[in-house]
Amino acid sequence: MISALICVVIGAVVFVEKEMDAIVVGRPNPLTGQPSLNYRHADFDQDGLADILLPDRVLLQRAGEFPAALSVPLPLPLDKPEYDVFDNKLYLRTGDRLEIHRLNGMTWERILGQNIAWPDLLPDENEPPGEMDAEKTHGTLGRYLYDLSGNGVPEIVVPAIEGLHVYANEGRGYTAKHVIDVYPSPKVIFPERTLVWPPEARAITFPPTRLRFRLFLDGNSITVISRSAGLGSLIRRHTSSWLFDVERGYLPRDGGLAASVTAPIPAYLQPCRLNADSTPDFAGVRTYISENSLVPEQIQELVLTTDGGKTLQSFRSKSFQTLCVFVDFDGDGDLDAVVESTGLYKGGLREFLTRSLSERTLPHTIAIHLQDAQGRFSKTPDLLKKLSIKLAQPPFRDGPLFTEYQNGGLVNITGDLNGDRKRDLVVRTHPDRLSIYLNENLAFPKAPSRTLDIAPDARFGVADVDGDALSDIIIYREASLEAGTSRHTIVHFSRRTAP
Amino acid sequence: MIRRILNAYSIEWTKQSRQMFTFVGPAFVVLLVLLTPLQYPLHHDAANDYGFIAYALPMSLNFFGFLMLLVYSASLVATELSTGTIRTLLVRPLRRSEFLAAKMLIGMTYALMLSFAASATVWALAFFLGDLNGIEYGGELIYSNEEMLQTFLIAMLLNLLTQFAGVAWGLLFSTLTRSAATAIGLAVGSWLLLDFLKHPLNIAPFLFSSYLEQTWTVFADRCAAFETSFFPDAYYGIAASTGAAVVCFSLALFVLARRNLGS
Repeated sequence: MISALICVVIGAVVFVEKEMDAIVVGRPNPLTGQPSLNYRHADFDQDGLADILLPDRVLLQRAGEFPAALSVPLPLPLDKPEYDVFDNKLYLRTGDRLEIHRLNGMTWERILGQNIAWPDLLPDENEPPGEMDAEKTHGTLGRYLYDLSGNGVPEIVVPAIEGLHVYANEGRGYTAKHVIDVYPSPKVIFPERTLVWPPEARAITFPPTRLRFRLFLDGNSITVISRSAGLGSLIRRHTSSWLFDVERGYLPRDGGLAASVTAPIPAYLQPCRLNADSTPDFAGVRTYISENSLVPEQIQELVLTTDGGKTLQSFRSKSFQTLCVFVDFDGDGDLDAVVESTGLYKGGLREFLTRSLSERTLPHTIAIHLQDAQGRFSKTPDLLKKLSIKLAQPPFRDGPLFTEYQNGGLVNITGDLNGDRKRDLVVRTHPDRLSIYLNENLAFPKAPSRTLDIAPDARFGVADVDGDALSDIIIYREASLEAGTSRHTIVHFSRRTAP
Repeated sequence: MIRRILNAYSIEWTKQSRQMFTFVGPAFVVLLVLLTPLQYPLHHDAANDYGFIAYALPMSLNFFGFLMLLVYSASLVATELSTGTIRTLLVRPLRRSEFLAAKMLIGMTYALMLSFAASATVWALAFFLGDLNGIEYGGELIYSNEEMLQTFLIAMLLNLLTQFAGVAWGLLFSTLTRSAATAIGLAVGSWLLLDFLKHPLNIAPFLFSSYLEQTWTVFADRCAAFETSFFPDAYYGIAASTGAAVVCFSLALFVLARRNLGS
């Protein structure tokens, strides 16, 4: 790994460039703006700086650097473990075992090792097992540690078919507690038709059942959100919440039940947390092609409710897929709506054709609708930022950059680069340039605050890599090889002052 | 002067109205609109059919219609030059500028004919075969029928301005050559060429043809219940169209005034 090379000062932010091929930053969750990452943060060496936990090693931080010499491989039992971290200790869960390690110098010291028979896991339809998993030589990062009792010692929660299994450590290792059945009732799926002829085709089959719900653990509360049929294509979302009662063996506390049912809402609205109140929020994005225009204009519609479906708010724009639709733009703790629109369709069919054939610069607009204290989003944009995005080729050529534009990969408003809790804007305004617009009093400057070079075949993401609460810019290139994909990543670390 | 222009216009229109070519464009535009339901079916199903108007009009009027307008206006003076009839016309007490102004009015009348033919047909189809209700979104009335009609009329007026600039564009090439075919080729060819080059040359905002469909996109957006405005793009469209019309007409006047009308 090559160490830090370049330092560039931009206003109150400094960027330090460093190659870190192990870092992978994926697309953010569109409803939260949180990117998917292949790493976690923990201070394993207790030096006050966040270290990076990767699926195969820990990168220790020293003075803002991650020296190659301070890369510690993770303990790897025979069975590929699922790692989690709590209180700077590393937990390993394998098929029948649990181990806890802490870092002592540059070696792992095992502080607990015990055999546990884990239950059969509940299948997660959002994360199907990858075909490559069997070929992996390392474990995975998981999340199974929750401090339900609030005593600083985490419990292990495993969602299994029959319920939530809770394991607690009461001084002599982890033991199984109650299986908590908070799941909703499964629904019977009746077959659409049964054959009665020919006679040998007749059969009585046991209809399968299906269980679909979302489960959230937050502190010592558990929330289960399920769905039922509403009106027509609309559905109702049922929300039930409990508090764990440690003294009753982690069974849900009596009387702690809170339940609510939404008004009928569109099925594509997903549960999310848009503000701090206790009412569950739901939001979703659907895209469709306009029927009123000769141009096949793609319309993106963001629909949300912050009052349990009583009122729906929607924002529509002519836009391709966008990276995220909610960010805490003003840093008040509530998420604000981001509505992007493309200028590709502007001017009708003939203009669309000429622009697609010959224009490399696309107009793009970002509108921010702030959320007020009542959970309402402003109807008119509180901020409108007009951008020009220059592609390497006209859209008709369908080059990689235009594909990236259609996937929302050229505009990123999820990061806080200077640590003021307000979201800053990173845009690939040119094939070889990233333009950074720092949020200045809830407005973006006309000219970029700073630009960064980017290779024409590279892509970028925004995430806090070094755990200093400042978002960093990750530029990566992927190359397909016979043996898989090789990835070259450069992280531009944000710093408040020059090193 | 105005009387002489109007007299010349009246005579010219009488002459044009006797030619079948004058009605070919409007007929094709109407035919195109009539065929649109094959692509965009209309039904009495309570679903709003303003979208049909937004779909059919730009295709017929701004694609095919504008091409016909350029062809028609590019042939207005060139045919007179090629046959030599311009000499007999100018024997009358009529200045060349007045003759050109009358031709410009003929072209504008033709643009009006095209627009009226397309609009009347598309509204008739939507009214008789479909349903024209106010535009609703989420159960809320966003635009009433009156507002949609108002939007349509504004879009039509703004669009006519752009078409008038197209007439002046055609007239300019019509005065440049004695051959009607060459004038048509130049007018259409230069329009297509400029359209293709305007984005790389960064001159798109200054060209009137960039705003040809702009007003209809506002109408189409309102059909989809988008809260959009004609402005500020309409300002740029008005400026570019008026500027193009004035410049092209002045250039045409300059060319015709210095042209030797002898054989």
